[in-house]
Amino acid sequence: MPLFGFRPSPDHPWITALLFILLSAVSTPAADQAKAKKADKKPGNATVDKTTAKEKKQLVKVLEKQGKTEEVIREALNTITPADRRQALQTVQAIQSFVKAVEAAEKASDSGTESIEKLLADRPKKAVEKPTLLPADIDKLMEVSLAKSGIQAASIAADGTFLRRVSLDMVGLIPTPEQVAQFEQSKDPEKRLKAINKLVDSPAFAANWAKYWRDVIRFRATETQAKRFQPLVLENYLREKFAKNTPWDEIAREMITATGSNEENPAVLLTMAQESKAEETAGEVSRVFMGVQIQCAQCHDHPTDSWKRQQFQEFAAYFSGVRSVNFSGNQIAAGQRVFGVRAAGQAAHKVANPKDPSDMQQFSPKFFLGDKSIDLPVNAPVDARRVVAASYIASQDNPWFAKAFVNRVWYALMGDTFYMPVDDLGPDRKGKNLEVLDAIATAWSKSGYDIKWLYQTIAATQTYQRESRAGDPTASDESAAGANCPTRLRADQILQNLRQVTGKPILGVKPPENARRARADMAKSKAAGVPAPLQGPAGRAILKAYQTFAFDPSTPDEDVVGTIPQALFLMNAPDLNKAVEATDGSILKKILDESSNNDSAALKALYERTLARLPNSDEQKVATDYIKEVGNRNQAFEDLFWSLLNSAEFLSRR
Amino acid sequence: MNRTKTVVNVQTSGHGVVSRRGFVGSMAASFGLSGLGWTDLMAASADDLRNRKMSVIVLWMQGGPSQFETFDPKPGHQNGMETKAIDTAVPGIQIAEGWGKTAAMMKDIAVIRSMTSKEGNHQRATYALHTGYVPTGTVKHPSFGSLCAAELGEKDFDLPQIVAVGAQQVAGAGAGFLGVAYEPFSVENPLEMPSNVVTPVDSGRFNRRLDVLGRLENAGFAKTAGADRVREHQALYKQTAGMVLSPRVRAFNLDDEPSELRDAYGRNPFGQGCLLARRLVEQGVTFIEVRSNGWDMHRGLKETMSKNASQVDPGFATLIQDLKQRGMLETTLVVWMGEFGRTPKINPNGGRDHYPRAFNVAAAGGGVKGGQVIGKTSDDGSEVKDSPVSIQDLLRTFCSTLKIDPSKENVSPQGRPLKIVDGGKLVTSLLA
Repeated sequence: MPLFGFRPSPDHPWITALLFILLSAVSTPAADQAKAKKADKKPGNATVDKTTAKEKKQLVKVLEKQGKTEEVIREALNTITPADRRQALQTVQAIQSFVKAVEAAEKASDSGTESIEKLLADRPKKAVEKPTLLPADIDKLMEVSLAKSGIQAASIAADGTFLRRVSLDMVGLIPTPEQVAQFEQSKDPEKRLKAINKLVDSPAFAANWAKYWRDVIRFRATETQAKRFQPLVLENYLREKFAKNTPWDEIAREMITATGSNEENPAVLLTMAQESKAEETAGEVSRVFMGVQIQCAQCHDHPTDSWKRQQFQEFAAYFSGVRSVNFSGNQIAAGQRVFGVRAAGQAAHKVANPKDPSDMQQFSPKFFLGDKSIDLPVNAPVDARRVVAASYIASQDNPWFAKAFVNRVWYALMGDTFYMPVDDLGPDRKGKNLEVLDAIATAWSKSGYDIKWLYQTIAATQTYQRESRAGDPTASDESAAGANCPTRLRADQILQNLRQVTGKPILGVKPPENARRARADMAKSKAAGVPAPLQGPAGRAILKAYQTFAFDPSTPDEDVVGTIPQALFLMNAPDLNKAVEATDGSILKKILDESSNNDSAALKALYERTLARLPNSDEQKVATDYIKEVGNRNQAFEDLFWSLLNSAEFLSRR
Repeated sequence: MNRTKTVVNVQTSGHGVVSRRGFVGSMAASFGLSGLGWTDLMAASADDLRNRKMSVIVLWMQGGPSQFETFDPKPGHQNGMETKAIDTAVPGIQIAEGWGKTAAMMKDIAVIRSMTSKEGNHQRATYALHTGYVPTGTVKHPSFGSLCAAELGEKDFDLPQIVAVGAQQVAGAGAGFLGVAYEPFSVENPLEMPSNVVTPVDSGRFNRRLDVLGRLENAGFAKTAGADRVREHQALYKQTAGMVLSPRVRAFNLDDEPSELRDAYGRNPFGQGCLLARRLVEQGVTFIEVRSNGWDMHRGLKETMSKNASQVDPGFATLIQDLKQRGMLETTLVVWMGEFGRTPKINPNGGRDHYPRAFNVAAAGGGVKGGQVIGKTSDDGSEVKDSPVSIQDLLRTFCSTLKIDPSKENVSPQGRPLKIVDGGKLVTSLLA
């Protein structure tokens, strides 16, 4: 349930910086000289940069008359020097030679397409079969594993616990008291399975997991300009894919090979997040899709893993030859610029030898996992490089592709997993329970990477549905957890649940003094299409609230810690404090009115609403004593409501 | 792999929490948040804290201030843009007009005119000045400020160890892989108390709420699946409540300061931010960055500069004077800097563009020898002629004045050891 109809955007911090970047030009001594020369001739004339832009425009006009596409012209423009450009403007002959360059670029891209098909002929075709692995099969494997380590499995969680957990895991929201009651009363023996399937098939599932993956990418983005890496556009893209249950390999292939503007093809945003730099993109693609941290071998042979610098650079060579560029031309105001990834016709991955910076080493693309790899020439066309890379990464003959995804999903649903951290696996890593991972990953791979099947299957296991245990004493680096382990909720989940429970948006600010103004801000944001940046004070508040609670979802839960600003927010935010008051129209007032003078009933209703469970007898005693101590029913309940929203349990899935 | 557990100053009293799952201990019978005992935390007075450690105040000129119109004027040269040079308290040292108050404090200030780097992009240069490293996707480097907080900060301090004043977002200013404990606490507007620091209920009720929260958690989640989560949560709440209830938190309230002093600092967010910085250092905060906007003067430099200087000059100068009067200057390093300098040639829009090859930094206090100029640029200002100082040199030298070992290594989450400052050489002339 998005706040005000918008999801919080994480890109706010870069906006100021973005404006600086857009308005500035780096000066170099050479440029200065050129500038000085120009200034000598025509004092007060435009700068070199501007002249070049003008020249480019003129050239584009000339060529467009000849029916050349903008794409090809821009490509050719990038391959010639400014001096050539100037020359091209001056003489007809030069223009003709420039046209030839453009045509050569066209030809190069054509022949590239041809050779890609030829190259991929040797790669195995994807085969999809209905998965035969059942939840019970997973449980059996887990039983064996637990028995081996002598671990007692926790018992199956009660309906209420299960429903809170599965709702948070699939759609990010706790169930309402009504949903819990209905679920508990149902006698349907398949009610859990049905609940799982209903949640996974809901649009909120796609929205929840799109935010997860958006943050996976966003937290490691080196691109700091909001306009270039648009997290909300990425999120929208992923949400659509998850809603359609697009297989994971198709999503991966799209993202690995994407070019174009982020408007036409938001899949470019993974590359944009890494500023389209070959080495950075390679490291991130390997981490996100295979869980292999090969980027550590960027500068030198990996100290503990078997990866060599040579292998990393060969892998990085797949991603060379693309650039993050402005797709909207120079005329358009900064606010409307559209960025994307553009591929050059040819590329060469050249890197300075770390031992001798003057020695530029050239690497041809090669895949570091598996036995053999298609030999691509050192100057292979850019499109071919990335298509071939995707054919190795998102492929059924690459087990790490499936394992990396399963490892993450298992962690998100169980609070414990096979390889930790979730994005650090690979042949050199020691995992645990790997027979379980192998079984699931193999089945999922055969299913053609059916995402919903994976979630539904894991959630339907007894393993998933066990009670959670306090810091499960049996789970260790070697053995499986015999219980579900609690983990912390993500920022968007916390904010959504605060809103659901209190019935008010909680943004850590004073409640809007001018509600009309806030609504106008929201309307403005909406009218602007993708709300980046969100407009006005309300938009800023959403961003800030989100940032207060946000963390990198690849971080192990034990490293995700509360912060002072988070505690301050929950303790003292004026809107939260207002929302817990027992004033007319408030949630608490309703609960207190409905329970008339029965404190115990009111307490139960409050617990159900906030924590989706009933208070235990000790909690009831603490609360009853407290109500007596305070001597003011409304105030005491306000304090109790505040306490439940400030509790560790409210912030956790369990 | 050295994964440091980074609970906010909590560190769970030595249990380390290598794995949350290792914890099976029993909860303390009563959490007793109401008796927070912040008076204990106050046992070490601000003076003691100051005596034990150094503090740093960075005045950050976001956008890249022109050296020609600040501390390296070229009045005789056409690149100097008719900017006049004015005398300072130190005979022979001249700085640009508009900085009269700072000029009067020159005996305490060292100007480095020979800063040089290769980073001409705002983001990258800002990151480099803040971390001493260039950005990479593999590792998020901790800022120098966060490193200072980690190296110099008191463990049981009840205010944040690192504070950033100003709404701007600054690349590389965060804690990086050091984790949230050393993330700067952000004060967007120094004229107001920071967000949510003040409790909207009275302190009696606030304590009462914390107490019942603790009791409910101990009776509920702590007994089922959440023992370790509750324990950490309560530790965080204890620390945060300690801050909310701490008398030190008044440091954020500038109303306590005499009106004349507030005037002297300049009645603008930057000036008042400098005053806040002094108040925070006084209370024992290790690192404060006060940010000033609008130094990216590609056009109309003359007018913008005079406006910016009129805000930063009084703040900078009064800060030094105020620290000195209170005997705090020796233990407080004050650094004025931006991400790069600006082009010697004036562009057609009457501005200057980015120029990392030669720029200037000013520093005072905290073990810096004032009253001097280090390095010089050519007559046209286009290159460093003497004693070039790199970003690493600068940070290494600051380490020396702050008594931090620059070669100490922190281990990134990928297991890569990273020195506090990698390379660089000591600028010995800067040391007092």
